[in-house]
Parts: sequence; structure tokens; C-alpha cells
Amino acid sequence: MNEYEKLGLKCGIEIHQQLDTEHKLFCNCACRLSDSDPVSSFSRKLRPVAGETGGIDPAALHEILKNKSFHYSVYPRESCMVEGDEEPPHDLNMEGLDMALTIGLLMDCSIPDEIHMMRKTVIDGSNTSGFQRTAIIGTGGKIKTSFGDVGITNLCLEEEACQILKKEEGRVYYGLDRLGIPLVEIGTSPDIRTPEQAREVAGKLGMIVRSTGKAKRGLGTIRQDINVSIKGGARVEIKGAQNLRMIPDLIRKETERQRSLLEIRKELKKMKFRKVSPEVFHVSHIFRESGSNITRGKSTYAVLIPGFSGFLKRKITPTRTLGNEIANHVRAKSNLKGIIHSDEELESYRLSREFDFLSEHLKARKGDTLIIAVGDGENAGKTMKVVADRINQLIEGVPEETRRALENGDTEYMRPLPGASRLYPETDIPPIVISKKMLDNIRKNLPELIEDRHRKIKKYLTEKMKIGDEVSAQIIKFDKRELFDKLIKSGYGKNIVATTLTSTLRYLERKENVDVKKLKDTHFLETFRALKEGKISKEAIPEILKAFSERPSERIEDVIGKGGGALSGDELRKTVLKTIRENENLLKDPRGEKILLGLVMKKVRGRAEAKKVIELLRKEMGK
Amino acid sequence: MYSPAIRKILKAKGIKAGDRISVRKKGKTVEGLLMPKTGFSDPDSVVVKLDNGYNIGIRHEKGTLISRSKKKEPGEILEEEKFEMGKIRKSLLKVKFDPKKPKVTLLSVGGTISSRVDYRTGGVYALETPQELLHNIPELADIVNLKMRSPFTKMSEDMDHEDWQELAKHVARELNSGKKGVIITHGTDTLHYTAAALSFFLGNLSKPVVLVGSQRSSDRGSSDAGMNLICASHVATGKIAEVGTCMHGSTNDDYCHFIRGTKVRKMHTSRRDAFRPINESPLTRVWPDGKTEVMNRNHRTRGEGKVEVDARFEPRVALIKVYPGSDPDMIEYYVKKGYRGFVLEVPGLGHAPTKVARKPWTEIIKKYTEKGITFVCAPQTIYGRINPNVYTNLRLLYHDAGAIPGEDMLPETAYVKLGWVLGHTRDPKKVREMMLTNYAGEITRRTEMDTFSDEGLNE
Repeated sequence: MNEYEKLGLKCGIEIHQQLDTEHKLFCNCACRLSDSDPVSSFSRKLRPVAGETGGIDPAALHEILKNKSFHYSVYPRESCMVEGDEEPPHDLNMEGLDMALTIGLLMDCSIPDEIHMMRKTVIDGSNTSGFQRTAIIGTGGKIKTSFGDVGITNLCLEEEACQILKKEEGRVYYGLDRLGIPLVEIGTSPDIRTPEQAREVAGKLGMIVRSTGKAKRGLGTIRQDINVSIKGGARVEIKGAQNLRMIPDLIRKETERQRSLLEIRKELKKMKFRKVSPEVFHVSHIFRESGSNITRGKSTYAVLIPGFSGFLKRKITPTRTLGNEIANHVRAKSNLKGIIHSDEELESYRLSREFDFLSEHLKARKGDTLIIAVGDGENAGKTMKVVADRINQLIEGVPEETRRALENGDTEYMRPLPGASRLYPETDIPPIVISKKMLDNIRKNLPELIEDRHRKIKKYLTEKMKIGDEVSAQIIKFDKRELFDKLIKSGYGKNIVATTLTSTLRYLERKENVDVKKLKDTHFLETFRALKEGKISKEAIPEILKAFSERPSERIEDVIGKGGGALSGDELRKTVLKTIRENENLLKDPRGEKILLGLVMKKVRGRAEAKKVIELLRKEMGK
Repeated sequence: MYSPAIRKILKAKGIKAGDRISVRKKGKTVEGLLMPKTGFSDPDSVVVKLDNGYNIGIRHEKGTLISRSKKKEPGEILEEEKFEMGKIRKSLLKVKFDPKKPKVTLLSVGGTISSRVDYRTGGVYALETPQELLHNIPELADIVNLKMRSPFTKMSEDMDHEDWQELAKHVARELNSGKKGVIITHGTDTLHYTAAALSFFLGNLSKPVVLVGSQRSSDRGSSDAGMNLICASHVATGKIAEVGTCMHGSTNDDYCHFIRGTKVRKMHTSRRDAFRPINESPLTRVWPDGKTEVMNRNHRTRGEGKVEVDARFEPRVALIKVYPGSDPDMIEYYVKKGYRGFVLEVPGLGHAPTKVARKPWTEIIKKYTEKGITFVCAPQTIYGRINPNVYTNLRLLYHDAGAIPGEDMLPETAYVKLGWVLGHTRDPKKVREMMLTNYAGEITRRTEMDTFSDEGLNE
């Protein structure tokens, strides 16, 4: 049994992937983020209605929304009155539905006979109407992985929300261009048992959607969320795993975090630690004159947590302490930015003397923890309540919550786990009948999975073309198979072609900042033709491609002419002579020829064959 | 309605909407709550609400098995969820209007603004009690003490003069029994017709009568219903004693415009700020916090005195659009049916096709005017003023054929007014006189520069 099995790790993945359809899900706007400036904007407020109160008392929610306004930027080609919530939705985009059905069938889902579009209440302003339109397209599917089948609980087709442009006190600014782009949401059952399996599943889900050929590419077009729980722990939703690589780290650290919290609970139980409701003391007189900017001249409040010493500096993951966690809750739930506690290196805050005084003042005993918050009385009071609540939760165990992925693989508290959102029928869109004929048609035309296509290409490259594994993988990765075939068909050597399309391009991109995307097939064809015709040497290829990327409309003759082609015999001789003269000391050196060769090659930058250079060197050196 | 086959099965098994069922088809089983069937959905598909909240339709075919589910619904329904489901918590019954606040009556005759949605089924129901209204719009308790009545409920496209007459009676009763003002919640599609009618029917008006609706359904967070009602409450307790509409003044959720009932028109199928004043400025601009900016000084102010209802109306009046190629013979059809008056929506300054046109109108107008039928012309352009003099053709139409130039009255308002006028007299001379007299702001003597479309509207 591996360690994760012992811990009872269970993971589920949920991805949201944007589709690259011709227009949006419920209107005819273009599906893209605008590259022009907004032409206007408008502002709205939202009122609390059913759903997504998120565990907050409706009256309290009312208070929150009362003071919040949402501002939307209007982009002429990417938003219309439908996004502005000034016009009812147009009919459902059939291209999007088709893609969702395709994905559903690729994942073996059950497809309903009638699709019902629903409204899911969203009141953070990211949907102008106050809800998101979403429909379930498939349930009960499965995907095959290296460790067995993983269940697909739901496949939904829904609209993307606005993206946040800016957040201010009481105001959020959104862009309307992203609103309404079609999304597929795919959720798996918690069948995943190890961090690496999660990465595989996330990759697989993305691959299946991309196999339709209509997945949007680029930053922000896919969102991955992970649900993690261990035995005795709780289901935690992690949002915002930026790429596949991060996923195993996030799960490892979350597993560790939950395990640590359970251990802390055990210890607290042993200690008979009781829930605290500490009195908040006004201690400005102690901290006002301190050497720390944080407290000097400000109001400071303190609490004492008996017997808690050492816990706040405990690492709950290798890179995060319990103190970090408490501070995070303070930031998320109160108006203050953090706390300072006695487990920390108080000297670095220049507050160790003040904490000593505080300890005396509050009659703290060894083993007690002191915590201070800087702010006015009301805010400090609220903050201390947040602190106390989170400490008290330690006795209960691991709280269910939604956390945000951080770059180093840790997560931070974001908000409570949302309650089941209230979904109710979207009566502006009639239900859509999915006929057997429609499904049969899609089934007949299912796209080949990318991983199957790649497997076939790999086989072709390695077995038929006898290209090595590594290079084959690169040709596949950089999608160069077609170009490879084209060049081979034109009679160019497969090894030089393979190398050029892989390592040469990568080198140019990484080491010489060449914009390889500017290179078209014709550039490669002309280059290889020139090589075949002896107009250039193979060492010149990188230089030629670089020139093409900078001046893509030029012909090969011009590129060679402008110093991109082979050096003439005379020019080469001149260069060799010059190099020898500059390095006369090397003439006596036994390795001289080799070094000189290197120097000349560097100078000519591939515009001459090494063979020729050696010939000339020997000739001149012999003199 | 579900198909007869499905209804038979449900009846046999004692299953009704809201019950937990299990549908087994082709080896797969789906569990959830049976949803009622709404229009546009295939009657042969059973609609089930899954535990995740989504609805799906499962076509009932041979071999499909529908049965009551033995499984319990997951979890308990929390208090908070009841709020979310549109049900009222006991604690809410404590929420009341404050008797110290100004007394206003809210007459509800329909529209999404006065309804709520059952979030479970998607069904729409009328809001009935003040508690329900306050629950959604608690701000009202700081402004008014609302009494709620619903004389009738109708989609506004189904209304006619009899509904306006009924409504006028109720408004008068409320105003004359000490209310500070009346708010009417109403569908938006013909809101401006009702507003015009009440403007004529309510004589000696000395308190505000505010018609309000919402363009976005009230089930959604973005609904304009809340803000419109809050602003309407301010207007209903304010100083302007006119009949008017109170709706968003721009696409922003910033302020509403209170617009005179005889000068307002719905100018867009769906925008929040669809209601626009035509040929004049809004009476006031109102913010939800009560701030008010008077934009049009031509109004009555609050006073005492009883409202006198004069709702006589001759329904045999038609509003007809005159366009190139339109057939004047339709007048014959109407006259045969006993119609006594026509409002013609005419292009430009007030032109009707002359004898040069293949289907001339001027002759038939002259013919029937001489027989005592009334023709009033109103601008098809909506904005602007009819002119009886500038062209020869206009002089022929108005001075010779006898059509009445409707000044700067909206076609819809002219229609309502003509019905009201003909309800008082058949004497063509008197009809003409009344149509050209200003009773409720429907005719203005001067049109300010900044009153065309958006100009000046959103400064």
C-alpha cells in the first residue's frame, strides 16, 4: 500500500475549457478577448435573490451587495446587448452543443433525450444577468487511464463569465468581451488516488477536449480545479491550478496540510485544549512607542491563548506554517492585513521587548501564545474573532473550504465551500431535443483522439522513418509531422530535416530569441533546396532560418546574398588568414588547429563547411 | 402537459410533480424530483431534477420504467434554502411596514415585477403579501407604509379600456381614502397606454400615481424591479401630482425617470431604459436614496381635493398606421363595424396619400368627416409636431378634408384620448375642440431643443 492509499487520499478533477466556436453561446459576438479599447462602460448593482448566498444570511448578503457596484467595459465586436443584459439570449449555439455532445460521446456519457438550459445564480457581478446559463449534456461517463477507469460525473455546456479588470473598495470592474464564450465543464468522480494520477487525468481531459479541434488555446482558456480529501480530513476544493505540472505538487502539499491538521487535533485533544473565546485587551500603551513601524503611533490589541505556544510556528506543509494559515484567514475575512504572534522571531519585528512587557501585563505563562492585531477597536475585535474561530476549528479537524493554488504548490484559504447553487430553468431558451439520429450522426463522425493520433505518428516516425524516439517525440510535440512529410517527400535527408525541425528551431527560439512562428513551410522548402543544390552548407541553416523569421517575404537568393549564404572561396581564405594572424601563438600549439577551426567556424557562422575550413587551415598553417 | 401516456402512468403510481422518482431506461437509472411540464418541452419526455440541481428530459419509450424512488432526498432543506426557494421563513413574518411612514397603496395588475419564481420548478407566481415584497426589497420599509391590493392580474398585451376603467376606480378609491399616492405594478408592454388612460380618467388629480414595471424578470439578481419600486416609492410620496411611469433612466442602475403618462412611450423591446419621454423632458430624475431632480417645471404639485373619475370611453376607435401603398378601404370596414373615430399615424409633418397616389386617403377622410366620423393625425415619426399648413397637401388634408392635426401628441396617447373624448360627445365640433385642448399635458405649446431622443436625457 503506498503512502497515499494509507492516508485514504481521494481526488477529483474539474476542468472548464473554452470552446473556439464561430460565435458565442447565446449571441453572435466573436469569441475572443478584445484587443481594442472599450468604447463605453455601464454600471450595475445586484440584489440578493435565490441561490449562492454561500452560507451567508440573506440579510447580511443584502448589506454586502448594497455597497458594491459593478462596472462593465463594452467592446464593440465582442459584446452586444445580450452581454449587457439588455436583450434576451438568442438561440443556443448549435456548434457548441455539437462539440459538447461529441465530448460526451468520447467519454461514454449518457446523454439526456432533452437538454434543459438552467440558470445558476451568480452574484459576484461576473455575469451581468446575475446568473450563469448552464446545461447538463452528459452524466455517468468514464475515461481510461493507466491506473483504471475514472468516472465522469458530469459534462456541462455553459457560458463563460466576465473577466475581472480591477477591484477597488466597493467596486469591481469587468470586461464584457469574455462573457458568453462557450465553456465545457467536465467533472470526475473522486476516483483518483495519487498526485500523479491526477496529473494524468487532467492532461487526459484536456486532450479529449482538444481532440475536437475546437478548444480555445492560450492563457486563461482552461481552468483546472482539484478536490482533495484524506481519511478523517475534509473535502477541499483547490482552484486555479495553472498548469499540469503544478497539480501533483498541489495535491502533495494539500495532503500534507490535512495530515498536519489532523495531527494537531490529536495533540490538542491530548492536551485537553478547550475552545477559546479570548478577551481582547487594548494594549496600545505598550506598543505605541515601539521601534516597529507596524505599531508605532497606532492602536494595538492583544489576546492570550493559553497552552498554545509552538503551534503557530508549526509547519503544516514544508513551506507553510499554521501561523501563515491564520494570517490568511485574517486577510480573507477581516479588514486587517495580518497578526503578529509570540511564536515568531519578534526581534525581526523589533518587538521582542514589547512582547515581554505584554507577557507580564497579561500574566502569561510559559506555554501561552500572545497575539496582537493593529487597527481600531472594532476591526481588531473582528480580527481576533476570526483568529479564535480558526484556532477552535483545529479541535474539530480539517474544515471544508475552497482554497486558491499558490505558485509554490501551497494553497491559501479563499472562501467557504459553496452550497449547492440554486439552479432553476432558463425559460428564455426552449428545451432542446436530442434525437437518436443526431447522436448517431455525431457518433459516426467522432474525431480521433489526439493521443491515438500521436501514437500512430510515433509508430510511423520510429518504425517506418527510423527517426529516434526523442526526436520523434519532439516532432509530435511541436506538431511538425506534416512539414516533416512534405520535406521528406521533396527528397531531403530525413535526419537533417528532423534535426532542423526540432533541436535547431528550439535552439533558435530559446538561445537567439528568434520568432520561429514567423517561419512558413516555404521557408523550409527553399532552405533545403538551397542545401541540396550546394548553395549553402548545413551549418548555415540556423542563420538562414533566422533571417527568414526577420524578413519573411524575402526569397532565399536575397537571404544568401545578404550574407546568409556560403562564403566564396576567396572570402573564406581571407577569414582563415586573418584568424591565423590574430592567433599566431596557436601555430605552435598542438591543439592549435582545433582551436583555430573553432574560431573560424564561429566567425563564419556556418557559412562554410568545416571540411573546407580544415583544408584551408592546414594549407595556410603549413606555410 | 405531459402526454396522456405519461399522465396515465403517473396517476396509476400516485406520483405528482415534486415527488422523488426513479426512471429506468436501457439499463440506466436516473433519480430525482419529477418536474412539472412546461410549454415547449416534448410532452413525451419526463423532466427530472437531478440531485445536482440540473434538469434533464428523458423520453418515455417502450421499456422505460417510472417509479417512486425509495431513496430519501439528500440532506435537510436548510432555512436558508427555503429563502432561496421562495418560501417564507417564519421569522420573516415579523418584517412589516412601519405605520409611521407615509401610506401608499400598491395596486398590482401584473408584470414580472409583481411576481416571484418557484426556484424549484421555475414556475412563476404572483407576489401576494407585503412580507413577500419586503423580503425582496427591504428598503421600501424606510420609505413607505404599503398596502397591497390586486384588482385583477393580466398580461398587459391582453388589456383594454375596461381594465383601465376598473383600475381608475381603484386608484381613485385609494387616493380619496387618505393615501399619499398610488403605485401600480403593471406589465411594461402596454404600460404607456394605461398611463395615458389614467391621465385622462383621473380628474382633479392632486397626488402622484406612479406606474412601474420591470424589463428584467424579478427572479434574477440584475432585475430592475427593486430599484424601480424604490424610486417609485419616493415619487409616490413626493410633490409631483401627475400620472407617470417610473423606470430606469439609463442602462446603469443609477436613477429612474418619472415621465408624464401622456408623454411616455416604450421605445425598445428589452432595454431597462426603454421608457422615454417624447417631445418633452422627464418630470423628475429620482435616485434610490430619494434624491430628486426636477427636470420639467410643467407639472401640478401635491394638494388636497378628491379625485373625480371620468372614465367614459368609446371603444370603437382605431389606431391605424398609414404607409406607402396602404389601403384606405380599411376605413370602410371599420365604419361598417360602427367605428366612430380614427387616429391615423401619418408620416412626416402629417401627410396622408393624396389623389396622386394609387391608393389615396384624402378623399375617404373627407367623405367620412362630412358624415361625422373623426380623424386625428399623429406623427408616425413619434417625435415632432403635426403641421397643418406647411405644404399644400397638408392644407388639403387638414383644412379641406377636415382631419384634426394632433399637435405633438403621441399616436398611442391620441388613440386613448380620442376614445375618451368620443365617450363624452358625438358632436364633431365638440370632439375637435376637446382633442385640441390640453387636459393632462398631452399637448404642449412649446418643444424645447433638448427633447429629441437621447439629447439632454442623460446629462
